[in-house]
Amino acid sequence: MSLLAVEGVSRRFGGLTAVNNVSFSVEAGEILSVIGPNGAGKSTLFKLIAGFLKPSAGHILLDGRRIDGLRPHAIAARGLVRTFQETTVFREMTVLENVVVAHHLRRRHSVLAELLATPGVHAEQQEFLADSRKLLARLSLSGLEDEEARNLPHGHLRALGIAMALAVRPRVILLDEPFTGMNSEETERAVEIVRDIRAGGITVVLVEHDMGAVMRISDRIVVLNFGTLIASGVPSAIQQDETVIDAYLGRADEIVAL
Amino acid sequence: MMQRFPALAGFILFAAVMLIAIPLLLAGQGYWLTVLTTAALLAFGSIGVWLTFAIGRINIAQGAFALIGGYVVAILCTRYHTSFWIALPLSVLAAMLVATLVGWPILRLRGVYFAMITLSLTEVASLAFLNGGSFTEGASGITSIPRPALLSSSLAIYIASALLLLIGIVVAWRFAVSPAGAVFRSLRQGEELAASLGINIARYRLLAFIASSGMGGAAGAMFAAFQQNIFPTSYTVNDSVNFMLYCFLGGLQSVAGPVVGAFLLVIAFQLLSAIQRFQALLYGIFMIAAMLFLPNGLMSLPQLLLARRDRRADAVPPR
Repeated sequence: MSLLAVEGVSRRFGGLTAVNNVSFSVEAGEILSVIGPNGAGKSTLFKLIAGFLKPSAGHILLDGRRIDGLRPHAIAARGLVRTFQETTVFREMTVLENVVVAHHLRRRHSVLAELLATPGVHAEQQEFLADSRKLLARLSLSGLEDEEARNLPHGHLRALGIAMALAVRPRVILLDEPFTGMNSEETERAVEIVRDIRAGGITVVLVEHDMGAVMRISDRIVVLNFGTLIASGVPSAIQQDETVIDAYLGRADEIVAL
Repeated sequence: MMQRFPALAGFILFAAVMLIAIPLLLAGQGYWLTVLTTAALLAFGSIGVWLTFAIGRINIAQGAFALIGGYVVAILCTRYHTSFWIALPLSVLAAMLVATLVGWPILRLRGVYFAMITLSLTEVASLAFLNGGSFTEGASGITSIPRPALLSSSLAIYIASALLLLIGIVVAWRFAVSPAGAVFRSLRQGEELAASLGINIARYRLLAFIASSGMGGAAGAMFAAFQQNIFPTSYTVNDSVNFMLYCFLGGLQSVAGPVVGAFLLVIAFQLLSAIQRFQALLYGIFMIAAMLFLPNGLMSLPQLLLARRDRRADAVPPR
């Protein structure tokens, strides 16, 4: 059984069908990329999987259990966490506070116990702090713990977003354009981070425009065009696929000098 | 650490003034005790509003919950001869119950939409009590509410209000630094992100609103007992707006904000009453000036002054 299965999912906004009868599955331990031109429905698909939108038709299953219709926090509790395309963090908190808050699902004490700051609460907070520092080190953010998040540059913000998602200890992580707006050196590091996440036993689904990175990193690729799935397969097969080339990748002989 | 120590010292000083200095100095001054009781109770209600600010909601409904708290106490104590000390927790529960029912649907709204609907809630509560027939006594309100046992003098009521406020400050302060407080702040800065991290945003929003409204109910209940009457017009939209203004004026950064704001505005308003005709005008100018020059509230004043001193020190050229 696949870890994540998207079965005949559609999403309509009024007369527009943003995602049209899309089906694919993700196996545990895989890195799967969703690619396609702008407006192909990639972001809508992500929102559907993470529970920010409800499908107009079809089912989404995690571990064989339906998650479509659940709210985002409930889906996170089942082990699927998304990051955001924009560099979304809690801007008025420090870097460390951001990651500590992301440990929310692992809080075991009542609000009352937290008010009284019982020894158990204290121990738990120490545990979250230590874990947060480890995650920040893993994403090369050590030394920035006490910086307010809004002061971080773009690349660091994205890394922080990933650290926060990892703090939830998900089984599946959805990365929305993790390489966009990065130079080649930053992309290289981000690719390493994604590989490191998978090495930690987490299944990765990502939406991305940077073809070079996608081709190198993905086990399989799913291609969307106008909301419809037009191809899926290993990177080498996608690169050779006629439909994909026509819709998206383009041909060398078609490139027009600007 | 640097910041926490003055906060604690400030709180101890405030508690000492409230519980020792004022009772000693003003024991015979009924007028000023009344003013300070009012300030303490309004400050307590504002702490509730401050909690809803923490989740990023502008709450202009506190007057409605003060009315509910006041009417519960009034009806229970006059008609059923319930002890105030039983009616007080019941009034808090009633306010929290209404907050649960109303809060669930309206907390989906954000920004000005939430502010407007809470504002109209105050109006709705006032109209409901006005049209409550013999149950709420309509426009004539409920008068001759008996004084609570143990609280027969102005001084006793003042001390009870001061204690209530001090407890409110401590609880809100502990809450703000607790993990749940961090979750509240995260909601203000990004509800979608919080949800994606597994935070049940609807539940936390409701928790904030219920806590806030419970505090409004308690403040209203204390007021009803202390003024011995309640009318549908005891709290109007104006009062709800004031609860919010106390927070703005004092600053939203810490729980000291609403307390400082409430005390300053209540006392300033009394001092300005000597020049009746210009009271509202000066009050308005004062508010505008505070918002222009201290956008983060009065509590940010020390920081601003320190920053200015540092800049001056930096400006001295090295030799």
